[in-house]
Formats: sequence, structure tokens, C-alpha cells
Amino acid sequence: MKLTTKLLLVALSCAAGLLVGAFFSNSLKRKRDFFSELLSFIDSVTNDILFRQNGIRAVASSFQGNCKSKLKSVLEEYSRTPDVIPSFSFLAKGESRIVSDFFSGLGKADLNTEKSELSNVRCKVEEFDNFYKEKCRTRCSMFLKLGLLAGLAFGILIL
Amino acid sequence: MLKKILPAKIVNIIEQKLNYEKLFELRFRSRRKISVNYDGKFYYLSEKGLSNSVFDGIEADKQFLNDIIVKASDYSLYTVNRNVCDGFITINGGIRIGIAGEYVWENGEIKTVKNFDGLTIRIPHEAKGCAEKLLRPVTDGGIHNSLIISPPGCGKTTMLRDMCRLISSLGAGYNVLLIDERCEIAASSGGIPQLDVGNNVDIISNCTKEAAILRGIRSMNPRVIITDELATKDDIEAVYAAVCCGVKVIASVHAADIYDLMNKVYFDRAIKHRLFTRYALLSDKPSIGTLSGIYDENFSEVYR
Repeated sequence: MKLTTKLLLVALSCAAGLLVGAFFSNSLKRKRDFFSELLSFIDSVTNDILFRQNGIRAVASSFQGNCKSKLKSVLEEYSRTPDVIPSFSFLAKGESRIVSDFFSGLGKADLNTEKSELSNVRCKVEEFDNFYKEKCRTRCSMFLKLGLLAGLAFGILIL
Repeated sequence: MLKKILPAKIVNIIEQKLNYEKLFELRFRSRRKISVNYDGKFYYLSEKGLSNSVFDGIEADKQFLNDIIVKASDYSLYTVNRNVCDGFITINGGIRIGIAGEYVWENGEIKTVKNFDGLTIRIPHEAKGCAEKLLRPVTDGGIHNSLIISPPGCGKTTMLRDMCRLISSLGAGYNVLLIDERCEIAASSGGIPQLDVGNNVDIISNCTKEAAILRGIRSMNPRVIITDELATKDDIEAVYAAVCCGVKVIASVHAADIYDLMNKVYFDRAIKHRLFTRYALLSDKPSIGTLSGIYDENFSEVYR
């Protein structure tokens, strides 16, 4: 096999390894961004309850314009059909249950109950947010490096 | 608007079996049959439309009631908490939903209502021209401070709405201030009245009569104030304040008849002082909105 072909194979293998690493890294980042934006959304709803009282659909409509994560499509769906609970299949089981419960109960309680329910769910979402921020900090670059190394090792092996 | 808040099954029955123009009220009671005020009479709502038999009626479960309230608040119950504590929510189109349930108290104040037991959905209908017969007696020789008297469900609000439209049409100078405390008369939404109350009308919604009259007179310089359901001492005092400023007042009150009015607390002084110089009595016989008599300040019949 010519040298250039070998180098090309190794490069392709490294690229494939990087892609796999990026896949795992992005999966963590998506969840991190989702919980971070969900936390901000909960704060927006809380502020609306305390001050303007425009309603949750109004808050969701104005908030989704600034969303970059999966929360954007969740809020779009919620604004259209508040009766239908959006799907959270991209989250782990426990996370999905908490977020589903949050959306299914949103706006259905009186003022004081709504405030305390938001406060409770905020604590849980903040835990998830902190968890994924820490995970991303420690693991995202590690996945990319591992992917690159694995690709390099594979490339060398097949030579 | 009813489509947005009612269960699909009920909406289908109303659309297919009933004439919406004759539908005045829907009553939902938890685990009891739904009843309807249709063309002035009460029936049970059944799969086939209306029935006189309770056994044919459709039962409303607790979830029905909760869902109606949540939808009426546009899925933001906290935004209508104050209204719920007052016992009603008014939604687009002037539809008023009266609420019965378990009141929750804290520090001597009503905090919220839970476990809804019953909802009364009142559907307004414009009846343009229903106040034509009342217009001349009220404006004869100048606008009189007038009181429309009737039991519940006889068309006071509809009459006031039409009276507002007619008086404001008398000319550009007839500036009317409409105090729509429960958003039923004009049913304003986003600053736009959903029902026709006339051109020269300024509307203050969702505000007590006392606060509205004080601010309205100072800022809007009305010639006439129209308001619904005088009930409390503060309401009467507010009317006195308006009249003392030279503004005419046309209002309504719940009472079976003149004698019932005379026995109402806080009204005896108003009657003695001839605060109102026209009294119009409404009844539902033979139909809702029937003017059964118009009286002057001495309760002598002036028009029939």
C-alpha cells in the first residue's frame, strides 16, 4: 500500500473517531443546554407570576425565540397544544418524568401553589443543570481526545 | 369562545342540536347532570339536545369543571386567581363563568378556591333595540339618574348595554363612561369592546365602581356614567359622588320589585333623597327583558 494511501486511511480513521467522540460530547452538551434554558424558563414563569401575569403561553412564545436547545421545539409544541405533553425521549427516565410532570401541571394551580411547585421543580432542574455542566466540563474534551486516539489506534492497526 | 373551553362532546351537542342565539346559560355541577337555560327555560342537556328528565341528562364529572376553568384561564390559572376568589371569571366575548367551590382562607382573607363544585356559564347576547322603550323616559327633559331593577337572569346587563349604545348615539356630546366591573357589558379584550356599546363610550373594566368613578370623572369628563349591579354601601356612595359632580348615573340592581328595593340595605337613603328619578322594572314574563313598568322618584308610573 502506498504511503499516501496509508496516511489517508489513518486520517479517515481519526476523523471517524473524532465524530464518534463528538457524538457523545454533543449528547451531553444538548442536555446541558436544555436544562440551562429550562431553568431560565422557570425563572421567567416565576417572574410572570410575581409581576406581569401575562400567562404561560405568552411567556413560552416570547421565550422560545431566544432558545437554542431542544426546549425551543418543546415550547412551540406546548404553545400550540397545552393539553398534549411533549415528548422527552432524549432525556433519561428520571429526568423525563420530572420534566413531563412539570409541563403537565403548568398553569393548572392557583397562584401560591404554582409558586411553590415552580420553586420545587426549579431545585430539581438546577441539580440536573449543575450535573450536566460538570459532566461536560470533565468529559466533553475527553470524548474528543479518546475518539481521536481510538481512530489513530485503529488506523495504525489496520496498516 | 365556548368551543375553546367546553369538552368536545358538549360542543358537538350545542352545535348540532341547539340554536346558540337562544342559549343563555350552562350549568355544570360536579357528578350531577348538566342543565341549560334555553330561551328562558331550564332543561337538562342530553345526548339528543334538551330534556325535561334528569335521567336523560349528561353528568358532569369533577375533571370537566377543572378543565373548563383551566382552559378559561388559557392554561394559566394564576392569572385569574383574584377573579376566582371573587367567584367568577369573564372570558372573551363577555362570557361569565360563575364559580362555586371550597374557599381557602388565610389570615382572614380568601386565598383561593379549590375543589370546584359548580360552574355557571352565562352567555351574553346583544339585543339591539331592547332599550328603545326606556330611552325616552330616561332622557325626557334631560337625562335622569335611572335604576334598572330586576331579579337575576331577566336581562339587566343586556338592557344596560343597549342603553349605553343608545345614549352615546344621541350626539357627539353624549360622552358615556361605562364602568364594566366584571367585563360583561362591553366585554373588552385587549382594549377593544367585543360587544357594541356605542361610539362615544369610554370603558373602565375590571375595577371597583368607587375607584372607577373617582378616576373616570377626573380624567374622562363624562356626561353619563353607566354601571351594573349596585349592591354595597361603597357602590351607593360612589353614585352619590358622581351625582354631586353633576354626572348622571344609569345603573342596575338585583331586586324582585320596588318593595324589595325599598327593603334593601343602603338603598333606603338613596330612595329618600331621590337620588334616582327613574326606576325601570324588568321581568322575564312573558320573556326575558320585559319592561313591566317605569316609575318616577315618587314611584308613580310614568310610562307603560
